Amino acid sequence: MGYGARNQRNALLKIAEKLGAPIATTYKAKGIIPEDHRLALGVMGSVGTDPAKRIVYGADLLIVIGSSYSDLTSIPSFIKQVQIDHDPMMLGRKFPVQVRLLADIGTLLPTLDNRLEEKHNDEYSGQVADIKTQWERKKHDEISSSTPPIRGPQAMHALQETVDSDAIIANDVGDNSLWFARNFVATDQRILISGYVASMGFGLPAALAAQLTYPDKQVICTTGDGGFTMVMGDFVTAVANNLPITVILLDNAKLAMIETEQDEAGVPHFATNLQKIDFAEYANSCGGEGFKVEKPGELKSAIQKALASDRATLVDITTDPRRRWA
Amino acid sequence: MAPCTLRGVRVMTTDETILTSDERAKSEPERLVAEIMVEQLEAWGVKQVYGIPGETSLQIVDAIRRSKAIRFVLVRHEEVAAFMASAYAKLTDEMGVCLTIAGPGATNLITGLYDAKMDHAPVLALTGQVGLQFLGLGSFQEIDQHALFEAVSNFNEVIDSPEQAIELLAIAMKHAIVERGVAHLGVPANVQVLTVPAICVSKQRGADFPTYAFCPVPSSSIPQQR
Repeated sequence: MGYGARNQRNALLKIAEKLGAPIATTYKAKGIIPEDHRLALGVMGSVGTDPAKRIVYGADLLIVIGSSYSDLTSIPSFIKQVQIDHDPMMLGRKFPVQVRLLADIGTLLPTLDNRLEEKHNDEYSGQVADIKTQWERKKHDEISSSTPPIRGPQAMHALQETVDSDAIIANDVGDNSLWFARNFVATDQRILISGYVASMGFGLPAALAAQLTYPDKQVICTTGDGGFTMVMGDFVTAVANNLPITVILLDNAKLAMIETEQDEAGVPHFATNLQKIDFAEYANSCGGEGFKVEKPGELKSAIQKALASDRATLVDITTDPRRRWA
Repeated sequence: MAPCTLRGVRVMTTDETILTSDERAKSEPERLVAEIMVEQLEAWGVKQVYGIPGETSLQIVDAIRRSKAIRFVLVRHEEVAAFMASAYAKLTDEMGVCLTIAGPGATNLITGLYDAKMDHAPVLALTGQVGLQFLGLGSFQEIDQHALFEAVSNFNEVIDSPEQAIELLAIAMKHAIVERGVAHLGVPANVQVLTVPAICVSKQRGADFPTYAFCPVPSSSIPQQR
């Protein structure tokens, strides 16, 4: 399910439940369906979950709705698929697709629902549930340590446990957004990302625009020390306009995603160390409120305090510079 | 019945309507290009404009200052203004708006505007431009702004004269909204303070503002049917 399927949550869930079909989303579509639904697999692709990858790649048929088939989503070309989109340019955009339906998604889905029969495949449902259970266990292992340094998954878990269900969350770009896409379980939150351009520095401006537009909603920016420093002068814009945004900053003093790319390319790590900044202090000097967190056990209370504050806040989370998969 | 050639969708079919428009035009208060642009933004539902003021955009900024409906949000870097406009559009499915000066203000927008373009977020980018009298002379803060925005925008124009102002802005916003992309309008500093001819401002029947305006050919120059 891609961004084009937004606003169709109920119709989509109805069809998925009828077919017993698990649902993976693109990163941009994260949050369109609640990720704690029994059929939800999470985000598909390079910043995605294991269940999404395993189940999508093992499927007999994919129904792809409102997706632009970004390379990073990695929808496999070798699986039979039915594609639905309102833009003819998107149909078969990356490779030939067996069935292409050109339609306004909101208009088509009820029609589709009427013509589909209920389907029960208990064996398949069992497999899906097993894969999801394994994933939950893996995620649990990722957050179980209480010794520093804090790991990305732990920060995301703490955020998940404290944030409002209808908050607006603006993601920046980098390992910080990977952890969010992969580990944060979205229920009803609106999520803003820089999709195709994937520009660092998107998170803070997006949070500013969101809080200006919805003054009564909880607005969060998830970011890293890399992306934040590109736009950090505008944290004071939040203070100046009395915008009580909360910046969740994963600080590993690195361009960590670049180091992973260097690893994959077989070149040494270079030009990826970022000089440390005391971001909590910076937030204070802007007239906002900074919270520094270095131990996993301190995460939840720090985030809670930041979210509850009526001032612009920044939670400066010192994280493990190594990306570690459990 | 005299035919009337109009640039635009609506066709006036009776002399009476033309006269009414002329008469109405006489009672139209005179407005500057900057003022009428802001009134038009208001009519189209714009509530926020992100940017940084400066010499080449002062008049538009001042018109926003006087607006009761639109809030000017001052940022520290124009890239942030462009990201904000893009994010606003993604969040609300409505058009985001950013406003900068000519030259370095305009160039600073580009990354954020590409975010809007590539993610199909409707954004209107308004940039000041050096006065028409300074173009092409290597003037202070003068850059080839049209070339700069050409690749990122679906619609890329400059308001060269007050007669064009209303239509160009309307068309720009339509491009942004309908095509879900970036529309760029440059407004030279001297044009911002020129008066829009009243005849160019025509009120939609029953509405308070020219949400789609046109410049009718003056009725005196229309050949009469024999």
